[in-house]
Amino acid sequence: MEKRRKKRNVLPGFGLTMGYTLVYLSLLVLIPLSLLFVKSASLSWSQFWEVIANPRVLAAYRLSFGASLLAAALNTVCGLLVAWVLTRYTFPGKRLIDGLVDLPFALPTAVAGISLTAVYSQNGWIGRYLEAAGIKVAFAPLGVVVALTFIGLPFVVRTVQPVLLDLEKQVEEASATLGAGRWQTFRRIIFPHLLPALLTGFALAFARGLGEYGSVVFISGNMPMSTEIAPLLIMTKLEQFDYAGATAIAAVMLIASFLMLLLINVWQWRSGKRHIVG
Amino acid sequence: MSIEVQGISKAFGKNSILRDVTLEIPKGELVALLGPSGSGKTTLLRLIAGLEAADQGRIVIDGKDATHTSVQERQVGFVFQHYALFRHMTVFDNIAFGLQVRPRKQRLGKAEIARKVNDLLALVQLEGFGNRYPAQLSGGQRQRVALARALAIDPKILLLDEPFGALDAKVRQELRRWLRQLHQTLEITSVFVTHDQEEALEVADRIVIMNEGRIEQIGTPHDIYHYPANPFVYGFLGRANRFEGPFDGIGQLPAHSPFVGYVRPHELEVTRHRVEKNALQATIQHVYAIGPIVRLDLKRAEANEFFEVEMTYERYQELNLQPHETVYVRPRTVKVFTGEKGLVSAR
Repeated sequence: MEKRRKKRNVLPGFGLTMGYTLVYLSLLVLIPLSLLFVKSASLSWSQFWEVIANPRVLAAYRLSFGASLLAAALNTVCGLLVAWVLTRYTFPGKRLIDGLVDLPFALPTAVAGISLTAVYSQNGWIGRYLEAAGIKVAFAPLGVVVALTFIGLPFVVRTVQPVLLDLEKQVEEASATLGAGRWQTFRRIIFPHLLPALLTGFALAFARGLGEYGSVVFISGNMPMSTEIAPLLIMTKLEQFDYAGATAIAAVMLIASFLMLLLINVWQWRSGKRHIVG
Repeated sequence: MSIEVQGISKAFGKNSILRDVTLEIPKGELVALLGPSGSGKTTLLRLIAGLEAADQGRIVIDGKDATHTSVQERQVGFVFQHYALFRHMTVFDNIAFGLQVRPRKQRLGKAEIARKVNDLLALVQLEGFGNRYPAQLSGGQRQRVALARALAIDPKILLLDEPFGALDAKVRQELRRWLRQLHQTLEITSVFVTHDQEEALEVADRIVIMNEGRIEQIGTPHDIYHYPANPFVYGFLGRANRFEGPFDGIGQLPAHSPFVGYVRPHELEVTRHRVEKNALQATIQHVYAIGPIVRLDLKRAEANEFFEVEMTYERYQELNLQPHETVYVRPRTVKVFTGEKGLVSAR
């Protein structure tokens, strides 16, 4: 039998890098998170179920996941548009807008929450007119979506931008010479090329939205059963020294978000792996 | 289908790329647009395809004015230098693309598309490669897929932008011959852009030589090579030595007025002794003795002029030439362009 020859790599040894990766991930992610389960294990199954199945908790989950998904979807569509404009056209102030995109990353989330509330509340600049049209943003579930959209904006733009830049102009021209119209070129050539990046951006924006706390608590009004998000409920439990209850809620969120992210990753991997081979 | 280009001008910003270009390509011909980079040849090709809009002039394809029709309507097969294949599609889907994006009424059935794609795969000698992705193919194979994709839409004309530019020398040779044969079987009017004069001379029925946005000469490879219209064409088609007069050292030319003469390196004869009193005296600067042809760099005596001579290896051995020796050079033919003063540069 032929002996397998070791591949030479730039970084030293698989053993060292993998070991480092594991230690790093363990210290920062796995150990803290496993404590979550240890803590919630102090509850019996029936107690655990009681915490989880509480209507107030269920409503909070619904709002958290629903608003995050909606905000991420919104960001995927609009983020693609922003990325498109920023890569395809030159216009005065392009650099400025490019820089603005990153602002939600840098801004303390509380500041974002307060300013969004100011603008979208009943007598705010925009809220005033929306209120007149019968749309309530601040202190309503819609406000949560607005806050999460703001927070997640950079993710899609920043993941799609480099892929769009990388797309050869000639590929689009080839499509045109073969008789494809603009929409066909976009749908059949450009979109499949962008899909993996779009999915990554969606997953990041969604994950960010699930964990967001600072900006949401200001704009939502935190009314139980209506505008209360799961992270806030966890905070409330902690303040009442109900550590086990708080970790139970957290554990469910963790598992649910992990499964959803895994799903998105698998989908992304499948749509992206094909043309990377070779 | 014939192509007529009438008085086309094009500028990008302040840079004038094409200046009043007029060209006629008869049906079924394989024409090469040849010129140095920046001569406007690729822009001309893109204008014919409709990928670029002309500032002035008309483009007529098959007797119909196509100046203002879109790329999609022109039905041209276009092959890009860097293939421009759709990376996320298999070879099969790449070739089928042009058939699948047709309006529903004109679209062929699935089975028919499959049959056509398979025929094209056979034509470009890539049977069995239908399920591969472009990333799994070599450069030559990718370019053949690109060609099959362009042919799938039954184009009226086939346009190729430096189709072999990104390939290595050996594959380029093969594909050149293959394109020639393919053109003979398909008889489709084809235009290809190249900066490689050898490629143009070998493949094309006719050559259009371009320089700085203008056409310098149009003709068959034979005509262009043997009867170049001007110094640019002469210099572009092969190595050229430029001699500036007046002097009585070259050929049988009279020594009266100032003139400029051109001689190809292989048309110069080298002797060790002055056989004829008109021969040019020179010293050998460098000898490149690799392969069947030996090239010498010579410096003309009493002038700061350098020129090249080519001879067979046998002749070189016979003469037993060494660097820094003095030799005598006599041209067998000299090309003189009327009207050229001693100022115009040859290259």
